[in-house]
Amino acid sequence: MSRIRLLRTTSFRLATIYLALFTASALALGAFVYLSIRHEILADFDERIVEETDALRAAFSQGGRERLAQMIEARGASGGGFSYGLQGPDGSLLAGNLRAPAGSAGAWMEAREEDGDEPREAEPEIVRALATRLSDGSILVVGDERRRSDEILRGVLSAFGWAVAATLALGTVGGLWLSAQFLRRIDSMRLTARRLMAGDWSRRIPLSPVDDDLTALGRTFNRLFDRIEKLLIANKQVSADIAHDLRKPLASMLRRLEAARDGDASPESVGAAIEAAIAEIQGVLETFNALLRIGQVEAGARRTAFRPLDLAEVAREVVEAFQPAAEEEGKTLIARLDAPLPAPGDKELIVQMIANLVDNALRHTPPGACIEVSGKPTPGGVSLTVADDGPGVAPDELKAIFQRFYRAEAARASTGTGLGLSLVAAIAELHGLECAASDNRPGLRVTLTTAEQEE
Amino acid sequence: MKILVVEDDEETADFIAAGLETRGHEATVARDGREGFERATADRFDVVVLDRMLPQLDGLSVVALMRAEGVSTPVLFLTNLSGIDDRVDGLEAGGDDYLVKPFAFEELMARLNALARRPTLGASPTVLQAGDLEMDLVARTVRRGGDDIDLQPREFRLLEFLLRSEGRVVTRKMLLEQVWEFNFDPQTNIVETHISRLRTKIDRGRGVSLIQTVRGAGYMLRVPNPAA
Repeated sequence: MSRIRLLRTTSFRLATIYLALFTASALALGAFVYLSIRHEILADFDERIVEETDALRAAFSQGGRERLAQMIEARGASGGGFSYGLQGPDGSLLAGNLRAPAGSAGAWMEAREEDGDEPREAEPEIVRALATRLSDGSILVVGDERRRSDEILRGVLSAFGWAVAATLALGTVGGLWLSAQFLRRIDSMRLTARRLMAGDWSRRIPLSPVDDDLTALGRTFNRLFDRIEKLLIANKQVSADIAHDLRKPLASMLRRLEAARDGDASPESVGAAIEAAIAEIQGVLETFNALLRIGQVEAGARRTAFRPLDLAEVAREVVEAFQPAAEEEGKTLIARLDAPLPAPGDKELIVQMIANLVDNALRHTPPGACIEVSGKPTPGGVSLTVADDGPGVAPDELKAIFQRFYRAEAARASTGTGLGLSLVAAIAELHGLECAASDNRPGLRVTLTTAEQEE
Repeated sequence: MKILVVEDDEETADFIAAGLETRGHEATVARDGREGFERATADRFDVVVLDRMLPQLDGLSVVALMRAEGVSTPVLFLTNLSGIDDRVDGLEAGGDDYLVKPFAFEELMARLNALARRPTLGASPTVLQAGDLEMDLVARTVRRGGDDIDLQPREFRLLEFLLRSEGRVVTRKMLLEQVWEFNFDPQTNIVETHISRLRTKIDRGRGVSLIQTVRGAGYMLRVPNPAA
């Protein structure tokens, strides 16, 4: 991935903003800390100067100017960190090397060290000093090397500077790393989408084991892709199947009508050809009707007509309607629907869904078969089953029976549009019901169960 | 019957008009919605055949306007292949019945007959009668020639519908819609088997059969002319 893209990622931008805010607040905090420390240190140093001055004044009041001068020389030599100066009333430096500017007695000042004996430094040392006028008119100056407090403060500042620099560096690196992570996942999504667009519909976004928002997004997209893939496959399949399914009746119609036109056919055979052609056309129209109905159901436009229903009651009505026909064919049709099965739905469609299942069972079972419609409430909703003990469907064909135009191997010869169970599947899906076919040992069992709600 | 056919497709309009005239009815054809509405309000018809998709003014609007004008002529909607929602919309707009194109002419005829002779609102009878068959809608009993006949609820509804349509052909589709509220045609012969059971109960062993099969069209309950 290019560097520019990395810098343009959302996460990097967020990291940068966060870093800027963090740095600004760290700087504000640092300034506050620095100023507090500085204030404390300076006050501390001043305190020491005042104490030293007090000690020297005590010596002065005991032993006069001589004693004070001795003490200054002694202390100055001991290297206690102070600088001293004692000026006579005339301004001459009597001891030490600090000279206070004239008229500064009794105040804090910046004093200058006079290095008479040492070689003159390029920069005369400046110290913070307190000048005190003694009772004999001389001035005592006690100073502390300013440099020492400055050094401490400089130390604080540089430590702080390093900390900020480290934060910035870590933040930037971290931001880049996070962006790279983010970008890697976004890129995998983008790559997947491209592959899908290129026609490889088996591709899915790889999901990270960490269940975060991106993973959730990826999962949602994968579900979307599942749906699109299903529709695409169905669509492709259907176009081919429609063509295949309609060619047969049209070809046979053509053959019959041509034969009726060309041959020296009797009026009876012409009439028979017309009758047959009408029957074929009706079959074709029926197929179109069923397709259109499936299309309408799949478009989901009917959801507005949903009302609370008792599926058990609807199923009983359907069973009752088919009962005489089943008996006529020597089959047993029974309903085991004791508990109410409340579910919202479009009654007309639910009736057709159950009717199609019963219809299908009746058409694919031999006389003597038993067809049972049963149902029970489930924790998540309802479950409705139509089961027969007929020849059933081969295990590898079970899934396919809901596809449009699919006729199980065993049912090739049977009539019908091959769309009945597709409509069942479409209606079930519209109602949030999962449609599953299984082996009833023997026979076919189709179960409709309220699908688990997606989050 | 005097029938107004509002249909913009010439072929369909001619097919309907010719069919009606052959059967001795008077057909007036209107080519678009506006003309249809004007004719329906200007003249009295027994029934209106109305296409859903029309130029100028669509079928739903025509019915709505007719009803707003106080014209209560029964309306049969015609629509192209599709279904479900269209039927509901059509009936809600004020239509009385609904037929999907393409249709068999007998189907259209049966429905027009049913619509034209639909009893006007008001006192509906509590007892239906045909010959020696008597149905009490309140007590929910059926008697024929003095014998009580025991019917299942659905058989009762079926017979009630046949009795209300006495002397007219009712099609399989009409029975499915009216008796079972099935707006689709199952592969299994639901109607045939029910009719056969009903016949067994009310006609078997009696000289006169009331329920007759009309080939290629449907069924009819009729008391045969005693002179015949």
